[in-house]
Amino acid sequence: MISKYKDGEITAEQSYLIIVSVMVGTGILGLARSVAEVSKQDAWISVLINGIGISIIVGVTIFVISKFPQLNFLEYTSYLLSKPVAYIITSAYVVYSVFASSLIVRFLNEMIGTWFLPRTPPSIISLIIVATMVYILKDGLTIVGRFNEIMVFAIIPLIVLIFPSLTEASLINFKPIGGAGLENILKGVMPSFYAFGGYEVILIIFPYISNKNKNNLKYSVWAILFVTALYTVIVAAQIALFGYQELTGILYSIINYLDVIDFPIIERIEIVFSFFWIFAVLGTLTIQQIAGCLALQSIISNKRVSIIVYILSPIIYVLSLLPDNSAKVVAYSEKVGQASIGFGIVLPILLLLMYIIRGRKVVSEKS
Amino acid sequence: MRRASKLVILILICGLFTSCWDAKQLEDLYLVYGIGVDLSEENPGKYLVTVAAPTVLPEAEAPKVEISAEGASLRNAQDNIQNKAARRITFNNTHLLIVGEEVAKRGLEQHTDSLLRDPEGRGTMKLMITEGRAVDLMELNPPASALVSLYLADLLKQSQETSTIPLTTLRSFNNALKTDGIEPVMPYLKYGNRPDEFLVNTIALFNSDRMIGKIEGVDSFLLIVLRGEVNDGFMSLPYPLGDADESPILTLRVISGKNKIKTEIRDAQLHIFHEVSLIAHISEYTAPMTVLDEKIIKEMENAANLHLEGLCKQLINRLQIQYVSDNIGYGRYVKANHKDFFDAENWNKQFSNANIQVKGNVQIKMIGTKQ
Amino acid sequence: MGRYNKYKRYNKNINKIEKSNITDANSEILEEAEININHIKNIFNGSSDILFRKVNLHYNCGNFDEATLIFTDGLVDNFIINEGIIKRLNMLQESNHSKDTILNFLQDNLLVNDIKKTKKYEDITHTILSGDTVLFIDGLNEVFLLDTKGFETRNVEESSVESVIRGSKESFIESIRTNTALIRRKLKDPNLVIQPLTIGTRTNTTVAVVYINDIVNQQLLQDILNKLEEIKIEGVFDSGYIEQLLINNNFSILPQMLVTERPDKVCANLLEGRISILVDGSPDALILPVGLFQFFQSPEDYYERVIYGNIVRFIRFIGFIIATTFPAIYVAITTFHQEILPTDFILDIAKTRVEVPFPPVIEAFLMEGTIELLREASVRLPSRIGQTIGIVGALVIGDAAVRAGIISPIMVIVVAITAIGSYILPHFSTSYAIRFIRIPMILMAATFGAFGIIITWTWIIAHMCRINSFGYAYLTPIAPIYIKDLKDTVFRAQIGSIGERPLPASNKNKKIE
Repeated sequence: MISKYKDGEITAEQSYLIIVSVMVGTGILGLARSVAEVSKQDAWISVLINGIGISIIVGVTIFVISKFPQLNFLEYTSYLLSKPVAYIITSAYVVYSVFASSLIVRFLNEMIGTWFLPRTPPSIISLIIVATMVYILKDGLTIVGRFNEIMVFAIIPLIVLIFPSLTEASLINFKPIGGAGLENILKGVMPSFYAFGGYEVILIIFPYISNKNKNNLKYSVWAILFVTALYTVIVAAQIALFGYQELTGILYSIINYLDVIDFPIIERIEIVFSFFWIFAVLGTLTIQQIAGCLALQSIISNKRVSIIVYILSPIIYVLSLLPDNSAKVVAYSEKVGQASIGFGIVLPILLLLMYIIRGRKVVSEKS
Repeated sequence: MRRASKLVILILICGLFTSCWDAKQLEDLYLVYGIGVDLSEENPGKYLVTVAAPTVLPEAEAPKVEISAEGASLRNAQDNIQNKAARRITFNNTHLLIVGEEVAKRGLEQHTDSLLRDPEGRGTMKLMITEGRAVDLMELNPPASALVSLYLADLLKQSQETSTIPLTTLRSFNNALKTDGIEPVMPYLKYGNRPDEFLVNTIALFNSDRMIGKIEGVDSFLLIVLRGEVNDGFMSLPYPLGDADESPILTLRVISGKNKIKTEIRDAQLHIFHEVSLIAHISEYTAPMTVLDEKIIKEMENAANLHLEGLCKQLINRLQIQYVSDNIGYGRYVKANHKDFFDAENWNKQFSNANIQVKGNVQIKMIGTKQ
Repeated sequence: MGRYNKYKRYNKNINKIEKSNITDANSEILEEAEININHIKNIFNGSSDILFRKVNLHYNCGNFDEATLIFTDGLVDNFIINEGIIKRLNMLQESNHSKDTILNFLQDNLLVNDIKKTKKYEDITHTILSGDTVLFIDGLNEVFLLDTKGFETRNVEESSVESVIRGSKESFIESIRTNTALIRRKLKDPNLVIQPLTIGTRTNTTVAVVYINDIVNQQLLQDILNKLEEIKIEGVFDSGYIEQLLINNNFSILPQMLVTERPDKVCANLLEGRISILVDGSPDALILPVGLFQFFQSPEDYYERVIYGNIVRFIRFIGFIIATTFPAIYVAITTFHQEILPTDFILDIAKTRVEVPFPPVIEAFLMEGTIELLREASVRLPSRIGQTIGIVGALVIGDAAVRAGIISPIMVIVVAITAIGSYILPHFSTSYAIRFIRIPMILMAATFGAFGIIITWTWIIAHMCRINSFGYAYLTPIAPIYIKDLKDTVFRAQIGSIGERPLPASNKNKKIE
């Protein structure tokens, strides 16, 4: 009655926070290690380049999508790419989103099983996570938007916690800057892509923004640059502290980052870190899953999202329990990472090309 | 349909609470404060691991309990210890890892892996080498404190603050191990005159993870200064420079220090220029001369510089020739500045061939309340 | 001659009435007073507190020589009845009046606040039961309703649950007229509308909807009024009935309407575009629509200067989080994450716990259960005994339990802090919410440690995101973000620097002048 927008829609401010929230997730844990393996002490340069590249891609994407303000993902891809191709792409997106969500659940499971609850069966932890997701998602995108606006605040302690350990850092670990070689730096962009992954939900979510205006592009790009800056600082701090050689031996580098000095009251500060990090991951998970449900909804053209949520959630639960051990999870995540490159880079470029070739005619015909 | 599904969820949730898999009651744990590793006397291939934990029952006789067991590795030994312990052993609160000298000479990396891999082990666990056997040390009852491990941890902290020993945590040891161009160091504990008196002013030098030697006294202070970890501490020198027995003693209290290291390669010969800046206050001067004079302070600074440079040269010579080990960390700078020259495998050899010059830059800021 | 006419009319009308349905409330008033009066006596089933006072209009007004006053004893102001009506009626001069002029005549001579005319029985019963007087004049088929309300009410005094140190100490009482007067005194704006409704088929309670006409959102107002008119219930005794009948999510754990006894709180919210509902017989006014952050606001925040107002409000936020989570944190730390605390501290806790036979969960529930029992019991006790039991319960029983080895002393501290902290919010119903949220959180913390606490908070936050109070999302303005409204949520800006009205107001008069 009072709300400024209908059910199922989100405001523009919520969309920026959704972008930030979906990117800050599970990738942040192993980011420094995976990039430092390739580009050594210049890992932070790789991350920076990656972030700038992604912001360009997102800028391009929003530019194309904002030309079709009333159409959702299925519809504008069918305008640009023809209907059967669009159906295939959307179905592929649904499958990708299901796999990505189950991967996040599994990763969260692993992390909790390593640090918090080693003896609890993973099936129970997955069950709790998936049940919570069902509760949040069953009322649609609006609730997810509001939920993530609050979850974004969980990122603030993460930022604050970077600073105390810097007393043990030494700048010598950065030198020589650029010494890894341009080729390695560019190769290092690939592993860092997974940490940034998730921004492709903007393809699905953008049509649901209720107050689209010219500023959407600017602020969305700012959101991505903010996450880029955050990641760059985190990676740089870890390199300064550990040096790239020790860093490549630690799996969850950011948690060990906090283990280097003794705090006065709370001795294991990494538990506090993990506490807030889990909130951030739950935020990511809700967005990933709702994007898949919305895509499926547009294919089936069902009115209610809740039924789709009930259908997809057990699938995600079962998939998250499938890999047997950590090594298989890594292999699994590489495949999902490749798919995310497809949706994150290839698809927007394709859309841009098709828009340039044929889209202008369509839009000018409509107007 | 809706009510049925809600009921199912409720039952599932109640089913969850029937078993708490991970709950560990606080009073059922042995909170191990210190771990000690020794060579086993009976089986030469194995290690003797000792854990010390405080007791919580007020009726208990002893405030602590130690248990030892043998095993092929740390975890293996822990397993055997658990069979002797009335409560679950947890390394969550362990502050101290004491390694016997013999074990250190054989290599330390195999023992630290389990502590690094399991999230229970803290990165801030302090490491220490002890003269003799660790198990003897842990069985002692220090007069002023309940637990020897706490006493030792405090001892380490105090000594680290007087800049006579480095503060080596598990993580920094691992860092020095894995990083090319620097070798680890660790505090070394010696027994004093009485059996419960400890002396911690010795540094154990490592090459990779094996102990190769130790330096003590003034040398250990200088090593800390060269490594750039100086906190506080005193430096005494005879002034005017001469024989220590005849000249009055000038003691400077070091407030902070900075290092500047420059490297150069001239004619395929590595030159390292190390400038040590120390900010100091005059803490003691045993002659009745007044020191509140700009010239005198300048001369004192020069004397301190000379004294410092001489001692550092001796120390670095020892490192280069006697131990062939770069525990100071020059290798990192060489690697950063001259990547092609640096040879990760043979850096210690390159270090011993390098020409290292130390320049002292002592600045005396204050002289106290007496002229 | 007149008497003979009366007799004839009486017979005629008796026949009429025997044919018609005597208990029909819609029936019209007849000219024969006797018939009317008997009819009314039947309606009230012979209750002894309905008085029928006959007044002879001696020096009289032409054709009318007798009048009857009907009123309820105890609900009327006796002074007005005697001095203002009966005495004046007795003092009337001789004059000629007809049916049309008698109203003007009475209006000139009777000393009452309000005179109305009616012809229907249903108005009469409501009027008599409200405390007004009905004046029958023999020979007239209309009656006059005179406003003579004067029943016993409480004095306007300080509220026992919402007291402040700085600010007005007046609070609402049970009479709706006094309450609306208190509001009017603070808001002397002609746009302030008080719209009355009658709800409750048997209690016929007066409910007033209060709003400022050019600020409020008309759509919202219309929805509320429609909903109120659709209520079909027999008895309305308190604003709580109206609250529960209006809101959608009755099973939500958090309140969705603000309940207050303070007129300044009502007026401040009215200025923000909200609507207030007052119920006769209840000193609690309802304010809607509200979000979560309104429950953290107290009028004192605004009366003190900026820094102190903000500090106090911030303490409330922290207190809310602590009051819900503290026992759960204690259980989680001592059961799962012993490594968080410094070693000396954890050793002390272990020493105190070693004699306690129960795990921390059972301890927590024992203490919580005891405190809840004590709390409920001490509410019913008279004040002197209540305070003693409170202190006895908290200190002595707690201490004895510690010494008997049933509970560890740290648990006593934790539970005591949370018990007191659950009252930290100015709005009383939220204390129920806090006490309720604690229980599942302790359970989850006992099973899953810190992860359990995270999951419980996630459910609570998700729940808060979903509910809305009449379309006003519960967590506005943080979710969804309205940047302009952020000036008064967690921290408040300087008085007078808030330039626009927050969300509930309509867009018409958004700027505050």
